[in-house]
Amino acid sequence: MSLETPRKIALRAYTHKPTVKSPGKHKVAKRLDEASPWTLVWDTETSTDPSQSLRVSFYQLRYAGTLKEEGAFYDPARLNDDDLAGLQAYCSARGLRLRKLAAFNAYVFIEYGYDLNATIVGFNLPFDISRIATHHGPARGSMRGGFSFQLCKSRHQPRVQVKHLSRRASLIQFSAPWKQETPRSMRKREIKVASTTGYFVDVKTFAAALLSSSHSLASLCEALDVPTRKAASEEHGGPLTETYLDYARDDVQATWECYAALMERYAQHELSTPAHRIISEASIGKAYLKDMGIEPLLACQEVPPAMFGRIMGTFYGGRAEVRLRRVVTEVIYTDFKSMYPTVNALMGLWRFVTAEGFAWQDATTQTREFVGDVSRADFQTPATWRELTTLVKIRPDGDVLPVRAKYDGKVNTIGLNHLTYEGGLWFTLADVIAARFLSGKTPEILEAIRFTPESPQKGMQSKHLFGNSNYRIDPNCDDAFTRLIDLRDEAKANKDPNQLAIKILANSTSYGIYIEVLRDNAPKPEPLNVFGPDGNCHEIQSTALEEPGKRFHPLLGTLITGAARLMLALAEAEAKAQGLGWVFCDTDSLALARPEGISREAFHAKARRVIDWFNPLNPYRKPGSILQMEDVNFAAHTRDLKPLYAFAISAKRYALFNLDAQGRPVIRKASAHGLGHLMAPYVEDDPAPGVPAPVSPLPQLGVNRWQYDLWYHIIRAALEGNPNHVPLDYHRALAQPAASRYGATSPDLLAWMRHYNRDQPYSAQVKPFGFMTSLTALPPSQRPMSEDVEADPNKRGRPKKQSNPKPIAPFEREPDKAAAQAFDRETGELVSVEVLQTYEDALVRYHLSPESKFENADYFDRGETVRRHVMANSVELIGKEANGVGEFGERVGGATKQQGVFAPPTS
Amino acid sequence: MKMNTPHTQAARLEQAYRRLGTRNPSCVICGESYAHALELHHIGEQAFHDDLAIVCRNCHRKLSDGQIDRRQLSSPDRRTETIGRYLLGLSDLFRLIANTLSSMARELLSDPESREAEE
Repeated sequence: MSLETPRKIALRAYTHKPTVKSPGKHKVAKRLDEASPWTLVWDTETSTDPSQSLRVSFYQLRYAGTLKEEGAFYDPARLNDDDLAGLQAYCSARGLRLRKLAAFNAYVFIEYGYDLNATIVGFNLPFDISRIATHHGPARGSMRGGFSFQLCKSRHQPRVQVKHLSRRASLIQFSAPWKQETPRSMRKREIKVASTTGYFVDVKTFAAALLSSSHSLASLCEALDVPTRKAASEEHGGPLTETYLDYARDDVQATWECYAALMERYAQHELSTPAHRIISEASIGKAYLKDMGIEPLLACQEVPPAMFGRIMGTFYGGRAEVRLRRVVTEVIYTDFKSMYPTVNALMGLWRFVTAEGFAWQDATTQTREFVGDVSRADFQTPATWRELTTLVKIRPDGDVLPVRAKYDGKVNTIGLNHLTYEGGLWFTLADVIAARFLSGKTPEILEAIRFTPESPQKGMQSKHLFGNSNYRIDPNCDDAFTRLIDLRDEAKANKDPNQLAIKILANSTSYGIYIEVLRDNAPKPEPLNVFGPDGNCHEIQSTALEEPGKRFHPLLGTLITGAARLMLALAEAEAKAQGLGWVFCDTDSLALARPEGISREAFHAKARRVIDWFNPLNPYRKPGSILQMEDVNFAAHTRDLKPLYAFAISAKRYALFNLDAQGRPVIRKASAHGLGHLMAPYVEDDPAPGVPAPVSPLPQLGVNRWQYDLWYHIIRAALEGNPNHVPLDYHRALAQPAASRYGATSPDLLAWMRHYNRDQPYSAQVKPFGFMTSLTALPPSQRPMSEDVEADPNKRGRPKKQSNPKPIAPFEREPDKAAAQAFDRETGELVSVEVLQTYEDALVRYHLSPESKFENADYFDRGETVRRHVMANSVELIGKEANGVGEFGERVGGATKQQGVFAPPTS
Repeated sequence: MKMNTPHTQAARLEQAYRRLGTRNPSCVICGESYAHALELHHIGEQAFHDDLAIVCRNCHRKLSDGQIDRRQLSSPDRRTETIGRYLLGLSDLFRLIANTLSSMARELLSDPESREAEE
């Protein structure tokens, strides 16, 4: 491999702003947190040009669910006389109130939404709010990084602030208007009325939290089986016909019905947290913990920040690796049942969740003995897992450990590699034991700290899920992690529709909330206290400000992922003991490989033995092993094993398939990693010729049609003995410029369009939460040569290196059309189509994607990967990794999502 | 200036709910629930403690009166003084609640003598 082995490794740090108390200890001002019986439901229809400006919108005002007023509003600047006359006639015939946009904003949105504390309901509210705004700017204070929208010109009326959090969720609130809301009598007594922030419920967000899946309004209507369905319309941007207005009006009704159906589901949880506070599955988990009377760690105990620094230094995410690279291999695909709840239950971590805090003591001698004596078989006894609540300082000397480094020279990734480092480094005990099982070498232990829970919190109470006394969880005597999985198994067996909600609850309380770190991007560097594993406080200035989340408990976060890595290591070791290899693993799954020279029956028997090894570790009522065969191993609708093959390129990039009678691949599961950020070059109705139709619905396979076609060709090439040469001319659309869709979800991202917006009136500008098309320029070496290149005789020396343009265009559904309008987002200069990467260019190396964390996983390398040996001589402290990477594994540009580097490297 | 709308009264009521921080406010002493007649009372005196209780204007005057009488009391230790004033504030509150309960009970038991005595 040509890449140099990194010498610097990165560790996660604990940070907090010196001036702010930990969030768990915030004194929450008494604020009215319950909406009035009024509900405003609305939806906008926009123009189809890049500005996506408001044309017409319908709304409903309901009191306690009863419709009190229905109407429409419009932007006078965007409707012509014919459209307006048609709209007036439509409203008048149906008794609908027709208002201009300004009147709607003042007398409906503000008056009901703010003055009367109505719940404001819509589908994808940030987009709709942006459409009705008359002006926007960057938000300040706690909503920094978001937008502030002006709805009325008067400063005495509130603005609306929206901060994008993820594809599924945004924070939305009214800002405090310029008027005194605290009566004089209260001001005299130094009491301040908390200004109302409003009650916004984005049905898209609410549905994602309750159903654990993303939905469009159409698919949500189907999923909830509401009476009104979202119709399709081809008339967007055209004249306002009666059919189109019916369509727009039905959207509002469908939104209301979905909201009502979701509220009914939410009411079944019987949670005290109001619906407008639910923005993710994690919100539901937190609401349950609150109702059980379980206080967050930060509210119970003053943990020294130095200890948090030490704990965060041991934190690594799930393990994802490829072992047999770019080789078609027969596999049995296995995964662990509810990995995180399972390791929680085995380690008894519920005791930590419900404790007043945790204590720690030196356990160096015991840990040395334990690590030296413990055998793999000991980990078949659940009691052994209880010993793992320990962090260990070791002197790594070629030991196999999780190592975070810039293997490709650019981005930090985690690899399980041989590590040598002169100083001591902290790891979880689980990682140290996994190192021993994987390499046979016991790491040198310098120090160990064992953590134990303090006494249980007072005042905890049991909770009935969905008001059902059979679904009772008592935090005082149940292990909630085990109990929730048992309840889910029970619900599944009884075909109880609540099984999904129980699953969501189990997942949302078992891991993410304990390691939640909130990121705030400051425009200028601000003071930040950074704590690394050495326990020292580094006072630095940074724009990447990270604060712990409300339920922050990093000890749980690191113990859980450490134990999950140990679980995978045990599976790997047992597979090896059975004479099996593996193709890839990802957090909780492992594809066991059939070695050459053994029969299929023998392979299945050995795989069965690996699975059975985990039988004794099952903490649940339902019998069986916690390592399970996935459904893709079986023929459809049966439990007959069908030969399954894997083709893995790199971590998280793999496909599983059967072979048909002609030896062609039948894809059962594939990954969109590294592809999902690209817009589909062609639609499902226009598939690649010669590719058989998928055997299962595409969402079940995990990809959409063009990704499925690509994987089909990658596998075909491999099966035909040409894994390095995948033709990309199988569909004409792949010759188009490769485009990605971006939402202008923050002021930084919207600034990409500043050159386009500069010369446009406000109504024609691309607005917040509108879309843009991002394209990529070919590297200078691959661009076509300009014909008239002449040396300038007046200039001497080497010409200045030209920066690669960063092409951006207003949103278009067809990449070709977008490319014709592309300009450099930094200079505003037009970018010619010839210099843009096509889909063929973008995908040409996908099937060769290197895995830089391994020694021998360069573009053309195939076969078994070999771990690197990292000889580290320095450590740097960093922030949250997810801040640099999109959800499909792509690098995200822009200032908003860069990983924080908090402290200079220490040798 | 904003025009009067049919919702002015409802908006005022919502404002009162926001001021009191609840949609179901009532005086902890007498049970008065007319939101515009309700206020927030510092149990342990404004200068010493932030805990608040919702009380009606009448009861608020009665409670504040007791606090005015205690102005001259003090302690060299701020923490002790805070605790002392908080406890006295609570005792005022409980005394008034006890009076209300007592009069309600006598009402139920038709005890005219006691009522006259109280009057």
